Amino acid sequence: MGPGRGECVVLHLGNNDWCVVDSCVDRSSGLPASVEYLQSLGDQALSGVRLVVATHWHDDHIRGLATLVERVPNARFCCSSALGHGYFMQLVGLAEEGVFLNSGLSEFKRIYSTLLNRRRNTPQRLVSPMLANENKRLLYLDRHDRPCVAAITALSPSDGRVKMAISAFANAIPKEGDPQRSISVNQNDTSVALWVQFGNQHVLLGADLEHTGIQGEGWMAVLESFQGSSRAQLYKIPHHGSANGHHQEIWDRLLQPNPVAALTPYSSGLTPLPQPSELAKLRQLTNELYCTSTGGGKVAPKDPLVEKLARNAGVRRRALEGKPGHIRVRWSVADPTPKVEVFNGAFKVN
Amino acid sequence: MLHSKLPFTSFSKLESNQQPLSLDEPTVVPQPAKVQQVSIGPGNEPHLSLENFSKDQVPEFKDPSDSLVRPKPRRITDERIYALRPRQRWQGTITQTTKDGFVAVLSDLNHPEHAEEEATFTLDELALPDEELPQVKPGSSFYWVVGTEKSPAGMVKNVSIVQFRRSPTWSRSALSRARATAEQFGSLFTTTD
Repeated sequence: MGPGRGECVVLHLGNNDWCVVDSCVDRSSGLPASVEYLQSLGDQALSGVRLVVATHWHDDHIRGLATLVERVPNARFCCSSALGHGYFMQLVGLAEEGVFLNSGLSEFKRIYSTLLNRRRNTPQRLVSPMLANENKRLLYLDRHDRPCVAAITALSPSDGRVKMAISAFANAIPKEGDPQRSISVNQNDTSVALWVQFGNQHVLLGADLEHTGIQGEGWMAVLESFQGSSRAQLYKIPHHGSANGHHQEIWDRLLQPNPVAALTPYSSGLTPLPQPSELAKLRQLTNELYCTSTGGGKVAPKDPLVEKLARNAGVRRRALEGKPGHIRVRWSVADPTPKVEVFNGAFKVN
Repeated sequence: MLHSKLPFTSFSKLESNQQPLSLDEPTVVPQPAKVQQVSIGPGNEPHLSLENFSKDQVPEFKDPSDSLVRPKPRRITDERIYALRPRQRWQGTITQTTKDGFVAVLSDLNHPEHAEEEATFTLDELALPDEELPQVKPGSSFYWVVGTEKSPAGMVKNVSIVQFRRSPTWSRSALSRARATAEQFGSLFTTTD
């Protein structure tokens, strides 16, 4: 799901076992899109969430994640291992102490506070966050009443990137007298890409992991250490279809021919993503390319005088988000052909 | 609504229903003090004690870094401050600069439920004072207010005002609280469940 800025993936692993990856908010309801969706399926769905993964701490990827964590008491929370380090905790501790900090840090502050309270109230429950690293198994479901085995494995971040991220966090911690500003640390390099197995079917969720061209980093590290022989039928395209999220070897080694590929646009900034050239390249690689949204769209209407004054001031405005578009892919153990449906403005790229 | 704890670099407009403020050096707001018995005056008779202490008479301070710094109210003689009628306010954060302006993400302060907007501003249209130009960089925050203004002569004109916010600085106490919070959160990862 994606509203034009931000994304969320909801996985049903069979038997009312769910996993949610990242979060975005439906502005019209104020709720995380994942919560809205799971609530629409009935009371049991939210209680069936087993794992919540924050692939990284970019504001747009985890907006509303704390609200989701509060509502899924049976789920483990998982994030990049870089985010379990004390330096990152100090940055999280600064959220709401200062005025201009990233909302991503505020979400993490609420998440960690929820987990601490949960531990105090139910000490017998396992609440420690899981820390994702390359090739770490995050979830394995093989109960006798299940239709098939389901497993989720982290493909990243690499050890080297984690070390560099920790160093960057240390440098970002302000000193007394420093001006309060947004924390500027590259977060994509420690994104958690995921490999999902459902019986004989596989899914590759690319998060915002990038291809830097440097060995031991990003997608090169994933490809160097990938241990499976299977290929995915469904691919969440990394980093909003950007050029630096693309690596041809992913398509050659990790994906089946003509996979179902989904991407969420990022409509902010002078170069919104995906760029037309990248979209054309992706279209060459698969006929089944889907996008959650066309981007933000029109601004919410205001007083006509306000609109006139804003225009006269020479300011061009556009909304960054709309209602989250929804791409739904379903297949079963009996029928492995994926069936794709689109809702709320999501569309197939022709 | 303006965040009252944030000082401003320039202050040319106010809402018309606000009282005029006086412009002085920022002052440190005193914290509740622990007053020791003080011996001053002839014969060292105590003039201050816990019994007769009034902090209005003798403000005392803890570590200044623990105190909340607020600018004293300012008095501006420009009569236009009485006449601004804001119709819409946004809070913006610059994300990119361009050769003739900047791009910012705007939050609608009148309607927080509305989606954030992205806006492109050109410096020529803004006519910012020279002292504010260094603020035009990624990460800087500002208010954008559009409305009408009535001159002393009674003429009404449309206005659009961009006002940058000066970043407060990190205090020792805020950093200390952050470290304490970090230690608490760290226990999530170090203790076994």
